Amino acid sequence: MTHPTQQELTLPVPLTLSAHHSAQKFYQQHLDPRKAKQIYLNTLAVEAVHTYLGWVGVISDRQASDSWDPVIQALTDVADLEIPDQGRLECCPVLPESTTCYIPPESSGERIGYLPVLFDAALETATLLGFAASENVAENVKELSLTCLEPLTSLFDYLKPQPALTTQKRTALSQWLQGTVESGWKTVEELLSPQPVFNFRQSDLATPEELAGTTVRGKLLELTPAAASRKAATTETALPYQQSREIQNTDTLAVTQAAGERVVFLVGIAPYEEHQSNVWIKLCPVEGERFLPEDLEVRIRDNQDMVVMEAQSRQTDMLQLNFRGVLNEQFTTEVALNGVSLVEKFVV
Amino acid sequence: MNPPAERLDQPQLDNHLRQLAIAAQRHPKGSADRQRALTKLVSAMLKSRKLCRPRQGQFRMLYEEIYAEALQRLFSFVCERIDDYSSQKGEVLQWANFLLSRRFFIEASRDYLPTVYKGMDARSVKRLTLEHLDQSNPSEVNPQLTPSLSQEVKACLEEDPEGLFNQACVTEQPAANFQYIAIKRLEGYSWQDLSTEFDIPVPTLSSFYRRHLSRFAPKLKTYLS
Repeated sequence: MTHPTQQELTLPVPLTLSAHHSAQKFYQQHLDPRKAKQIYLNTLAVEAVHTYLGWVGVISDRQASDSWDPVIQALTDVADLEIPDQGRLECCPVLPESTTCYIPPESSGERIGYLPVLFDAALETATLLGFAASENVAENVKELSLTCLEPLTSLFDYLKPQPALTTQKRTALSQWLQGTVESGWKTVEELLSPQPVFNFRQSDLATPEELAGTTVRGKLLELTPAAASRKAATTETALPYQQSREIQNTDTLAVTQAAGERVVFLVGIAPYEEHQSNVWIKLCPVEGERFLPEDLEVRIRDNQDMVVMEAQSRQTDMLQLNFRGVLNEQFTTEVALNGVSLVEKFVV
Repeated sequence: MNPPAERLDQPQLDNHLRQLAIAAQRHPKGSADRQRALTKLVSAMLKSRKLCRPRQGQFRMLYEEIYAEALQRLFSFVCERIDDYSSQKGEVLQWANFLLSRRFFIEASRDYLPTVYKGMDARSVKRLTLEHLDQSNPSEVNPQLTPSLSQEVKACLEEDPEGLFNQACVTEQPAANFQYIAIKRLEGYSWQDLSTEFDIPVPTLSSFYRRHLSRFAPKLKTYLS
């Protein structure tokens, strides 16, 4: 249903349970129902804008925003969203039947602009109604008329160009058989020293001949949101999930987090027949751990991005997926834990 | 100007979406023009009401939540991979519905089945509605007796261990100090109320407050911890 006063280009963002979860965490800290409601709606508004920006490739940082700071929330009415190196947007909640949008005086002059967000009564959908640049809003204005909004797309007139995204390189596995391995891949000994690791080099592959020709390399993966949000300067996007899943370029790992969220990711390739190879993907616990983290998942996707194999750990000490690939065949691996996904692209 | 997406019939809608997809593809990845085009495409797809509802009837309690999650992933993918779409694959909606039903809905449903996802227990979080917000008490949502943050902040402000909050005031108006204004704001007084009380314009008061809030927030957190 179109809100009668709004301009044409609006965007109804579905609100997920995790958006409500964020809102509730802040909401619960207040006894005053009026304040609590304000915070709940402000949080949902910020979540909706954050989601939309993620879809179109604009990075935004909720944790750096005042709207995500409980002390500042308590002391002011704020629904800002920080765009790193650019400024902040104010995401203003609009209730059903409203024809105007309230602008908190505290935000005046400090924002790139305002995005009114219309909620439905069930709080299932947050519709972005448009945009009002700060330079077009007079200083004393407390209520913005919804009929005067610019289209949502005019937001991009006020944002600086985003850094160009480079696509993630594909690791060429057949090259490994020639001894050419890209940087970032370590040998098993490097990953799992000083323990002897050669329980991995046994009868997982069919014959001893194949065993002799297997090349194995791996990486240490860190599956925590904190690590995932430390993005490299040249952001590499692989499989596109919403920003809150925080894809990480695995070449920029920092190894500091709890061992429970680190795993060793190994890839082995051995030639089979003329244009084929046996490939296996293995996940092992880091040194000192007996089991993999619970609910760790690994998936292999084909070149159409369809999942062709997957496994999940439940008190497991190792996960392995084997397949036979044809030369030049492309596939992608995805290792996931608690909403954090790390992706690697390969070509056989 | 095109009529709104919800009023187009199917062939017109398909055509409209195809044009929008092609328009997005024409611009370089990451460019503002592509972002604008994607915005229009996503908006039209969401408003078309032609996105499928897979497995309707399953997942009774969590269906809408799973569906919302699936839609978010779908659009993340569509925007990121718009270059992969071609009319040889069929219409945009066909492509989207295929992805939604065969992949994203399934993935979203699997993410909700283990009970802890993104650090929350899906069965214990429920979505509040506007009615809830207007009627219920926040402390009922989580029956733990968490002390109100606002009360703690207010106590900190009143105590003002180093006298900072009281001393910071609007030029030559010691009564209009940060401590007083912050407490009034916590108590629910509006900017207009304060403006009338001090005979200071709202923008002057609010910008004073905002600047000092940024300065004092770290201090307050130290006092609170």
